[in-house]
Amino acid sequence: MKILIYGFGRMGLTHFSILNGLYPKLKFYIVEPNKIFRKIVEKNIKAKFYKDDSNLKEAFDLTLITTPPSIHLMLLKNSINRGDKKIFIEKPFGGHTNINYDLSANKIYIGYVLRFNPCIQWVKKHINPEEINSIHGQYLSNTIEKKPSGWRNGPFSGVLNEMGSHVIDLIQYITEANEMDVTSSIKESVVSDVDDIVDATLKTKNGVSVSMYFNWVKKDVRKPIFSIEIEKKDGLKYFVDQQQIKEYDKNGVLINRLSVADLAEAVPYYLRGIDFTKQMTDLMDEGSIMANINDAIGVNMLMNKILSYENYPRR
Amino acid sequence: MKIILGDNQFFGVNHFDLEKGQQTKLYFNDVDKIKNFINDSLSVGMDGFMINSNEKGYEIIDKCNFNNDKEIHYSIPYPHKYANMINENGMMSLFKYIYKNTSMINNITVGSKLLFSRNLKHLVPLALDMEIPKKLKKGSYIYIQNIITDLLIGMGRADILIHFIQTVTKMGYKPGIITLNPVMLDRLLKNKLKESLLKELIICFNVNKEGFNVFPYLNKVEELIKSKPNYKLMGMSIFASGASNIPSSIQYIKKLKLDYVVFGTSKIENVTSNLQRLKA
Repeated sequence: MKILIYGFGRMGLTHFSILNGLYPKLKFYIVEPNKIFRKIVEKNIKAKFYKDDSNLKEAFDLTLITTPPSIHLMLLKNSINRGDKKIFIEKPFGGHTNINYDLSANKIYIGYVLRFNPCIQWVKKHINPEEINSIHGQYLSNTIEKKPSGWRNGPFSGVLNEMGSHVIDLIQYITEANEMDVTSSIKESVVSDVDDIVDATLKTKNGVSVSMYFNWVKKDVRKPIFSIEIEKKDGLKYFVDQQQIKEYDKNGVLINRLSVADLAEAVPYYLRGIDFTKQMTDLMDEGSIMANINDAIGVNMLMNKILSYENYPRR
Repeated sequence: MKIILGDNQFFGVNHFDLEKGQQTKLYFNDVDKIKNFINDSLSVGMDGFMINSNEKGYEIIDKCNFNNDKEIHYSIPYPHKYANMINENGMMSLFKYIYKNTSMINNITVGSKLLFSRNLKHLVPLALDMEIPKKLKKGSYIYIQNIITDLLIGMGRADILIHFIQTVTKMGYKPGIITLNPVMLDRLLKNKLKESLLKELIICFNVNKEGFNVFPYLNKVEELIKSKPNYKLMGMSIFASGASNIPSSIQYIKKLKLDYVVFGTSKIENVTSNLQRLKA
């Protein structure tokens, strides 16, 4: 099986290692434009390296696009034209400005990896979207300590594109609603020149109240933390993070607690979390949990609405 | 079986409860509190302690003195520092940082090898030079963190792990490898190392009665333990990150006949009671 990876940064390396760890017989082809970096890694990894895709004419069985979002669309077109059978694109697909999609191709998946968290899968299985009254999503991290350089300090980055998109996807995945109106939106730049903190409220067409808070300059956070709070129409409340699910009654009394230990799952090879491995195994199978292109465009449209709310230029 | 104090509680790591992790991190907010807790744990009978090379961990080793009879298990690197660096400035920033922060001699001798061969294994001595505090006593264990080990396993570069074992040994320390893929690692190490190097090596991996975060499967890890490899075995996450019943977990762990276990707690009473149960 031939696998092409566009971009060999942190995510390209992660997916390569997981796939290579799980399926040692795969053949890898990697496009990495940085000459010095390419010269180093090509000596260290069993793969064929290219500076660009101009000489890659034959179709690949699987293509992973793990470049900055600004070139996702161009590389996707190249992959479709080449006839690649299955395409995976890292989130957010093309960034918040990519809200129209007119290419026709099957089997295109977007890397919203948090869907594969065992707690999220529990929610998906046990909470009926029609019973949801309100949902709050949060993502906290200390990702940016100094002003980033390059694309990470530009319009394709920011906490909403890079972190918030994950949570928006989860909210859409859980509520099964991707049409929402923004009712408030506050954006703040603290370290970078783009949004470092975003606080927004929204309403779905079905009347579900949605709120979100994203902050990637939170100094006291060691490791990124996401959480989802759900209130059902019957008054039951759920607090969900990557490690646990807490269920509260109408009066706020804790009535049930499940941890990831209760939902323990095994994977044949572990790197960075069960969810990363499961994402790759799902991709190699039928992609039944993975976000598709419509899901990803839905996330982008919502990000666009949040960032353009209040009618002043974002950056 | 030797019992080692873990360090997760000092740095806010709790795989079961994020809130609790944050609380203990706030409690251990300065180096003196950490040092005192380590000393108290050693004085009640723990055989040693494990500490990571993050800012506080480095300072503790560099500035504090501990009972010489006790073992120090020092793990490198602090992964979040490097992850943030890559997030901010890309993959090449990692190489630049290492060059900037290692001694000139190492840069010339080892750095030139790296430049000439482009083999990443030559980063190992540079990383060790940068991450190990000068005052870390010889004979201490130096571990490579699981995020690096497991990445190298996936990349198919177990030879870099072997180079790590050889380099650490040459420096007068003992090697340790933390992994969440112990069965894969065992396969990769088999027949690749001299007996003398394996004798001091510790492989540290998750094992608990519940099978929580035990990869690939609990029964496979139990089989590995029963096979009695030539290196030492250390169990971590033995209480399933706090999810388990402690007495029954200890009963289970004792049956495995590991060489070491490491556990973390923020309460000295827990250190004492777990120790008593493990040693009984």
